[in-house]
Amino acid sequence: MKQEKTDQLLDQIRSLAHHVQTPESLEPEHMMEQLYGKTKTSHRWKRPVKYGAIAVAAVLAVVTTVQLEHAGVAQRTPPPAETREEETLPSEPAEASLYTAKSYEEIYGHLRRNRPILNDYKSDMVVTESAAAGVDSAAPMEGAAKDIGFGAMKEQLQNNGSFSGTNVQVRGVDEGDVVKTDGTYLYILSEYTGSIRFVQVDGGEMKVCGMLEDTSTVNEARQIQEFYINGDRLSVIRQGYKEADARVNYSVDISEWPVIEKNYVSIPVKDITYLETYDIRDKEHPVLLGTLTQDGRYKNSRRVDDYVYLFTEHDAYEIGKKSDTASYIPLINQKPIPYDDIYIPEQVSGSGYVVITAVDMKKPEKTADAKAVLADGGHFYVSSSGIYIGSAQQDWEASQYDYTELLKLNYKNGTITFQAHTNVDGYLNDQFSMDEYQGNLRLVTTLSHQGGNQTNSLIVLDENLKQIGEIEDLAPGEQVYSARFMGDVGYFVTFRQMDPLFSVDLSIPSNPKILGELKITGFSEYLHPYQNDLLLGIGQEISPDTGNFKGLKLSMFDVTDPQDVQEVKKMVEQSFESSPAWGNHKAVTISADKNIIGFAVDVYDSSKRTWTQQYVVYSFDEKEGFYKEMAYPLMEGGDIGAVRGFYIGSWFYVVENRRVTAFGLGDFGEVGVLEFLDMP
Amino acid sequence: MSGILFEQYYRQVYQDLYRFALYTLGNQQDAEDAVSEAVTDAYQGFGGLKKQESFRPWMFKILTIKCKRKMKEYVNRPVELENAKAAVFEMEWEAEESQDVRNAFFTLSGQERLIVSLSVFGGYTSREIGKALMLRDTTVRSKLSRALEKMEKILEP
Repeated sequence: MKQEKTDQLLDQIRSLAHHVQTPESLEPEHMMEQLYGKTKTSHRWKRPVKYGAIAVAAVLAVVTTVQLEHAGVAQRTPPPAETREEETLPSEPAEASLYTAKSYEEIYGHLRRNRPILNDYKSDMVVTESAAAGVDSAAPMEGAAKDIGFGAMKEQLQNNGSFSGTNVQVRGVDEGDVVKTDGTYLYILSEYTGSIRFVQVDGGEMKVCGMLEDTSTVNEARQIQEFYINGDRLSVIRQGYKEADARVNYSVDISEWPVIEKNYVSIPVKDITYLETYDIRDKEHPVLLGTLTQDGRYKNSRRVDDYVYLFTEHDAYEIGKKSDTASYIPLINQKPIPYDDIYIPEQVSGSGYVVITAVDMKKPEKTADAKAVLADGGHFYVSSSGIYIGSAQQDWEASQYDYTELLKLNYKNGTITFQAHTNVDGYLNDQFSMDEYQGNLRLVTTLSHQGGNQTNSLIVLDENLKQIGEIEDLAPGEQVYSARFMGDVGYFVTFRQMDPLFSVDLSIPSNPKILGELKITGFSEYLHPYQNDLLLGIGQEISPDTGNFKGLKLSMFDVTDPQDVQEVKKMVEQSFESSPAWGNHKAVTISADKNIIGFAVDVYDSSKRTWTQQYVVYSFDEKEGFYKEMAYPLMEGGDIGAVRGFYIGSWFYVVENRRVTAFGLGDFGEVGVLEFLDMP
Repeated sequence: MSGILFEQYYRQVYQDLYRFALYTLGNQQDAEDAVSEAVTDAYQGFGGLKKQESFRPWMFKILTIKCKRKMKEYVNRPVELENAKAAVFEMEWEAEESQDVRNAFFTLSGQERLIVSLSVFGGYTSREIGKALMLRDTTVRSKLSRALEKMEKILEP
């Protein structure tokens, strides 16, 4: 068929479609309304869920201790020593070598077989082990001075050495964020996400004393994703990309096959993630000590002691010739990862890699370790010794069609080794749906069945990810909204009409048992262990009669007896329409010691029909319940998702990307404010 | 990324998404459902999407999966597919010529329609379509030209 004829026909089809009226329900306005009502995401806070009829929820507690006789069950048999290709590190478990690629050709073969198929999109998450259950992650870091550089140490001590860090899942495993503090300075991502402001704070006196500049180039914007502070070191994660090579490839494609509308050609851009580490002793002149350049999209990261672990996802979209390793092997600092540092799981589903590196913030000029796994990234949970990566997968032909591909790697002092790979039924809600305890991994998943029904499972896996215990068919028709494991007991909330809070006994991992089920109205999106046997829930109140959203809800559960969990106090704020606290634990500041529960909210005044944003702080009293200590109006047009609260000594700071406000901790009276007027 | 941003991106593509689904599935209701499901999935995963340039291909990826799934269902109910085609034809279009093109288009098989729609509405290259449908790009090219020739024959007997 002639070229012009082809074009003409395709044009005809295209113009035909221009007459097509898009249904009203798909118009952006309608769609967004629907999405706000429907969505359940861990990346963002969300609007109230709109449900049909009655609405109440459940919290479920499960117990999970590992008994020693279960350890070692179904362990992978290590290969006989003589069959191993090479000596492994003494610290490396025998299992790892089984999964190590033997050559680049082997990897190439897998990628060729699994040409990127379009159904590899997935949800994302990362989890870190909450072994130390009952963690008050915003606990005062009294001992934090040891992590602080000498310069800061003195000032730090003047603040009683007590300040709140980022609200993390696992104590000792730091999570990157957009605002950090070391007790003396606040480090604040600017609104244009290229630079970081250093603000010295001392009570109400605050001043900008330096800035980390944007390192974007003319050809490449490098947006800051998250960063870490460790003493006098700052490590910042930036997302960049590369596109020139791909453009050349595609121009060839266009001439060969002239069907494409040129302006629509999607150029596969190679994402590159940068980890820059600076010496910030001199706040006015941060000194760049080292840059790690890692192929892939930034997924998540953690910091344990001096090491930052960086997780990216790299797609090998444009696989070239076998000899062109750079076309299909992820590059670290411009060099392909050696094949024997790449792991191949039993099944390889996609055409991408999860790339995992470690950098010592004290010696950032070189990369401590770099490994890759032929697998998808997803939710990342990092325990004190393990990295668990769960990615949601679907097999649409199966009656129960979703499953989670799980990877486990071990890490220690910057060395990363592969441990195990498996699949479990259902999908994970977020990183809190995974928890390592005494070597076992406990998971709560939601299973989707053809026909639209959902069920939930609690699964216990051993150190090699072999299943040792399970409870199936929990809360039919409902899905998990939040979970928290605390030692032998796990709690999770499911919701459709009522919110049952389930408690599960996990003391015998091979035989988890439901201990209790508490039905309450609404549901919790986030669960946080508070003081003595209390569990705080932040979520939504839903009318049990109409299913309508009734406001933001704070619940305090008494979990003294996991078989008889009680909602001892609750507070519903009707005008609070949404909060980042629903989707991002790092947006919440909680300290039982200081008796502070703080987060930002979207407030709707239904009499004036106006929207405002506020930062609110609550305290809790066993008799009086929740008490609102503060409601501070936030700047208009700011990014509510980037608002953080910190206490440092006897002050509380509300940090927005264009302003910091200081309050006294006792009465929450405003003592100082600093606005950033300059445009970084 | 915020919902506002999502809305901006969505606004730029939603009409093409619907046209693509409609032309692939040939059924208004199914097309509407497919887009709606795809957008819901996309919104949930939006936080993971860091670059706005990739929104469009990413959205089409998800929608392709939804459409493939619905087409799989059609295999089990061929009768309804006939009705589905009829539903598209019911729409009031005036030009007689377009009627012919439309009629010809719907003589194509599901896979052929998917390939044509992906290139017309999705703006995909043969290589990208190949990735989507797990076909070699040369196969996609020949399937596409065969599909168009088929239409051509019908249009100019």
